[in-house]
Amino acid sequence: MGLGVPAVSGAQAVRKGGILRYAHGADVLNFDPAQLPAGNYAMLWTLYDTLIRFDPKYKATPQLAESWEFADGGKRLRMKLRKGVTFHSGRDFTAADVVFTLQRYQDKEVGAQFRTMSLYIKEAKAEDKHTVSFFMEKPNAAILDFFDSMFIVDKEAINDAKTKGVGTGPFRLVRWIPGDRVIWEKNKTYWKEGKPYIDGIEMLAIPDPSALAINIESGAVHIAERMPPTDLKRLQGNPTLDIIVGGIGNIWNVVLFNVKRPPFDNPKVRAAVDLAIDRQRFAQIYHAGFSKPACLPYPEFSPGYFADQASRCEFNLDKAKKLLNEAGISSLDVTMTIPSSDYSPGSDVLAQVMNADLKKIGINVKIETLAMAVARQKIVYAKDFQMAGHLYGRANKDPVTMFAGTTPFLTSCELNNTGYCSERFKKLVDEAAATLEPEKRKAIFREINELLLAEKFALPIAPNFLGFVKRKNVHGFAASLDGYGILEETWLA
Amino acid sequence: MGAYILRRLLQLIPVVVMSSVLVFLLLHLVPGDPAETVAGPDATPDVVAAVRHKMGLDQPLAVQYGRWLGNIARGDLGTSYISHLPVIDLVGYAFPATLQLTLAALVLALVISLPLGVLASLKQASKLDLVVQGYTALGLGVPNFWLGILLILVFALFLGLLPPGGRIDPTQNLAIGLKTLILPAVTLGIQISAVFTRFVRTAMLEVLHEDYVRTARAKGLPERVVVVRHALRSALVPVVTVVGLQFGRLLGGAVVVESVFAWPGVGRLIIQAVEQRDYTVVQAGLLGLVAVFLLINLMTDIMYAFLDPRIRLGAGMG
Repeated sequence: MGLGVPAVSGAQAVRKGGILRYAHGADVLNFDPAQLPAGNYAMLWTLYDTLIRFDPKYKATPQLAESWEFADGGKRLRMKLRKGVTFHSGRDFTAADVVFTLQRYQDKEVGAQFRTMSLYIKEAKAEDKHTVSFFMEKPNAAILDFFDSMFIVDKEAINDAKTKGVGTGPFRLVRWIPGDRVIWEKNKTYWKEGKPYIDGIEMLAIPDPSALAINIESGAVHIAERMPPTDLKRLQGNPTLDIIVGGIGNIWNVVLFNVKRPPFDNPKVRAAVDLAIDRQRFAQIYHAGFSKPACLPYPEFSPGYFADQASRCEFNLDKAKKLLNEAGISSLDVTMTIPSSDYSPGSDVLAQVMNADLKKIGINVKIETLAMAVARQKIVYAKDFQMAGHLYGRANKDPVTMFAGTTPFLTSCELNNTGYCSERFKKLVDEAAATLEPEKRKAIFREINELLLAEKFALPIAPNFLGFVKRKNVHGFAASLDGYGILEETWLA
Repeated sequence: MGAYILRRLLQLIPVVVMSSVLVFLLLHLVPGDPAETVAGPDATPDVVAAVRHKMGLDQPLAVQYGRWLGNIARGDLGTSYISHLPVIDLVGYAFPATLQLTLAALVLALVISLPLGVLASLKQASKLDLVVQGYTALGLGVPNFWLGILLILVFALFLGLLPPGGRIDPTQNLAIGLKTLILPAVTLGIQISAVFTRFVRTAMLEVLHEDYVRTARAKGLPERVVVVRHALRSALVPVVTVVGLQFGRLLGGAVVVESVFAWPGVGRLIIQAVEQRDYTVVQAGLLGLVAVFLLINLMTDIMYAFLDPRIRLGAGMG
């Protein structure tokens, strides 16, 4: 592998050089950072940089933005950009690229996954080559969340963004063989001095989970991304491997009710089902113990998390049966719509776990499994379902980000796919967005949580995560808050 | 013969055109489109509509079909909606990978099945016949993915002799290219060899009781000549049919093995494109499969004539 001159990173001696073999369970579909299919996760922070990056404790750290400050009562965010950064094309990175990238995220026709968040910003202005200001109509305490997800593109290379992605990231794209592999080489002019440590990456698509496991066990690859929980459990005892759980809470399993239709227009019936869900059992079976069940829709490090509220759901079939009786129901037939497991991992297991317990309280569940596109049409757009098992995302940052972009928790009556519509809910979320003082926000989030725990239109079940397995000789690898692999400090011993 | 082949080739054109209509319509009638894939799960309907408009998918189906067919007539298979790569490049990379795997598996299957089938038929109801029948039962019963994983475990994980997956183009590195081919080809080949062995055995048993075989033996010809020249040659006619069918089936149907061995073949390409509703890729991939399948059928028919002189292509099969 041609290992190079040793350097020093922290307490450990870093060995430079070598080619890292990185396998992932889904294939890179393109290099457009505005789109986030599962296979693209691995290329994001390999090819691109963001203005800021959250650390695992949800603390914003400088990246392409060296510093930032809020002004005008929070309606203006001014960022000082790093100088001397160049794109892989050789062009200098400037404030104009930041403005262009934002506008691209806002463009409807691009279909950016974080478009809703980008729309918080009314306008962006390049004050000079390395200063940019973002203007908002009203303050938004969660705005930094967007900048952790806005990957900066070269405005002059945008026509080839999907096939030849040009960023400022630690590695340059050398060759892409769709369905097979992506070859990367070290960006020798990367702005983080001395990094990356490795010479290049061979990123392999290995869709079969068993084959992915064997590849990492045999040493054919150094890192395996998207390892199923059951395989993680099995590999935990392997002395040559390390397990890394990344992106906890970025995506959650959820049960949705259509609150516009009987029987779930009745809050007591929703509450009865909530009591009949054995979250613990689901987390054990599906997540193999790597995830804890939850009653609130965000993880422990979220500003919206409160331990007392997070333990306010229980599995109690007697209480559930009693609530159903109070609603005047002794038996009930319902259809639970779930997308296929490739689109909505875990929903099938959740439906099976629920089915057995709901039967005990007199609710007979017919599980309707649909292909991705059909499920999306039925659950998300047409709201043509009674009860659904699905996933939601963006729960691992500020709760306002989740309420702005995740269909079951949207405050818009028109767009919330459970049909839940509440002026109070909308007012509270708007208040949380516009309030900058952390203590005041906490009080608002507590109130929102009370509303969620009482109304039960969407029931969080357990956070998902992204399982990584690495060989012991791989050092410095990290997963981002969202579960994207970060390889700039990775080295091979 | 030349006129027959030309006529058969011309007959392929309407079949391919009809297939194109079917593929196009079926794909567009299935719910979902690439715009939904691009816009992501939480996109609002107006965003999906804007992306759809940009992709030209809001135009009438007839217009979209006409445009696609027109492009194909000019040799342009279009661009993938998802990756933005030329479809010709995607298909052009996946088809050789699948052909390589399929051909290797078929050759291996024939190498195994011809001697096994012939021996089993010659020693009908013997211990050897029982062993061969047991092998075919196992070969047919064991799922591909299981056998594949087992082979990877043994040869990659425990013995470390072969790579666990991936494909290296043999034109770039012949030794490593062949190494990456062995396990997927064996996985596919064992299952197909079970099918072929049964066909060879049955066909041979029928032929061995024919009068002309008895006559050949009565003439005092050596047993090897009787079996190979007289019996096996006739028995191969139905076997060739099965080989042709298996060849066609494997082109798109080796997807499980392709997934287990991370083999970037056409089956995986099409399955992934269907999931993403990447119309242009699915359409080109399926049309390519139809065309290759038709060509295989043609080649099978031509093989009949070589194996059985009684079959006259121009007269009986035109």
